[in-house]
Amino acid sequence: MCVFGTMSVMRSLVLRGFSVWSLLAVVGVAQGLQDVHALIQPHPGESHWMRVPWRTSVWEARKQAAKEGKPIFIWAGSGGGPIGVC
Amino acid sequence: MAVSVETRVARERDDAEGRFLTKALGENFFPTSAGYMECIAANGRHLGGGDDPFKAMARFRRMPSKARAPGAVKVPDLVADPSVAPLPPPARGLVLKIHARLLRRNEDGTLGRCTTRDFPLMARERPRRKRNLRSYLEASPDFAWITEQDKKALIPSSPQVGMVIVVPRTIVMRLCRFHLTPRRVYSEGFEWSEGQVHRAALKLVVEAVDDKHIRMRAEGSAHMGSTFDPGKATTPNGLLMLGYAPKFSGTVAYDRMAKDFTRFDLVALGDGWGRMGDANNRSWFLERPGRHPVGFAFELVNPSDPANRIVPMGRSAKLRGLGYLAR
Repeated sequence: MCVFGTMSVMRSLVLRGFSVWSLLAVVGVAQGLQDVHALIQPHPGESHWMRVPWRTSVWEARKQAAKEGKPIFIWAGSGGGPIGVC
Repeated sequence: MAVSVETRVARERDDAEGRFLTKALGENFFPTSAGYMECIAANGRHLGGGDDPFKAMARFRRMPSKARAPGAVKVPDLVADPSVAPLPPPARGLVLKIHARLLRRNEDGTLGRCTTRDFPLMARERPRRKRNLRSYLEASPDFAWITEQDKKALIPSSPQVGMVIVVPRTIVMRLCRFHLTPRRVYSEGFEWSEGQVHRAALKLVVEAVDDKHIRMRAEGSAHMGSTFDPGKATTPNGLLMLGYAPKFSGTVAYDRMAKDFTRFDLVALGDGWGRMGDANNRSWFLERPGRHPVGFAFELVNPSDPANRIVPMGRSAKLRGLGYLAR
């Protein structure tokens, strides 16, 4: 179902790989799929710790730390730590 | 060198990694499911808590060069304890990164990000506490796994525009039961039982096809948990248990030459309602009266990146016990 008015909008969305099918049609939201997908994901200024190049193995981190002469910073949590769930 | 780990796995593993941590941090390290930050040198010296990394760094620099210089410490390969080590993502399968977010309806009909004012139980907190709680209003990550066998079921053998592929129930149930819970934004410890999934349907419709590519539209819906009842959806500690009814929408792309998926953008969006409880199911700060939008955004990620190898729901033991990948 096409809920946009012009072929140019449709072409633009198709070329960007997104369906021209809008969430407007299903949940009464005045935003397209791409907009909602982006809205849910992290925004600039949020979750700063996610920018850290985390490893998920203490042992692999230890090997790399030994090789580079650096200390290891461990952040543990029940859902997999800061880059996991919760 | 920053490491993000699961407390229980670190604590319970019976291998060189477990012994390394025990030697550095002592017996009974990471005793609860709370978060812990620690700094350790590669030779096993504890440098202090990670809440003051500058002090830990200063301690590291004061260590003798022969104990900290590059290459000074030899670390052998690890033979991991298979009983607790995190499971790897399924070979030749797909890893989907999920972000979950509680949303608000703006006056103009659009959806927007929430603020602390949207949550009555949060609004009455002191400013400092509110600042801390604000992180729960950001996107919360999770990972879903699709096996190689699952993947094959999503590929049309003779694709034509308009063709419909019904996503197998095992995959849809996995997504709904283990990932599509509004409580995922603040907790790893909740999943729907099979009986709590009242509706779960997802299909892929072929939209475009040529010799090299197939593009499909994803659509469907689900309903988990309670049925909305405005009279019971009150806060705090109202009578209505958690419920969520999302619609699916998305775009999936398959490369016929590479024989693999190149895109799996999926949104699950719908209203959630009822009890957003703590460990004892008492109303928590993120509970709102009535019904409000909750969104989940899925995307394909590279499983060779360590940060994308977190197990679904973040809990290795739970993953083993739930038959997550069962068919």
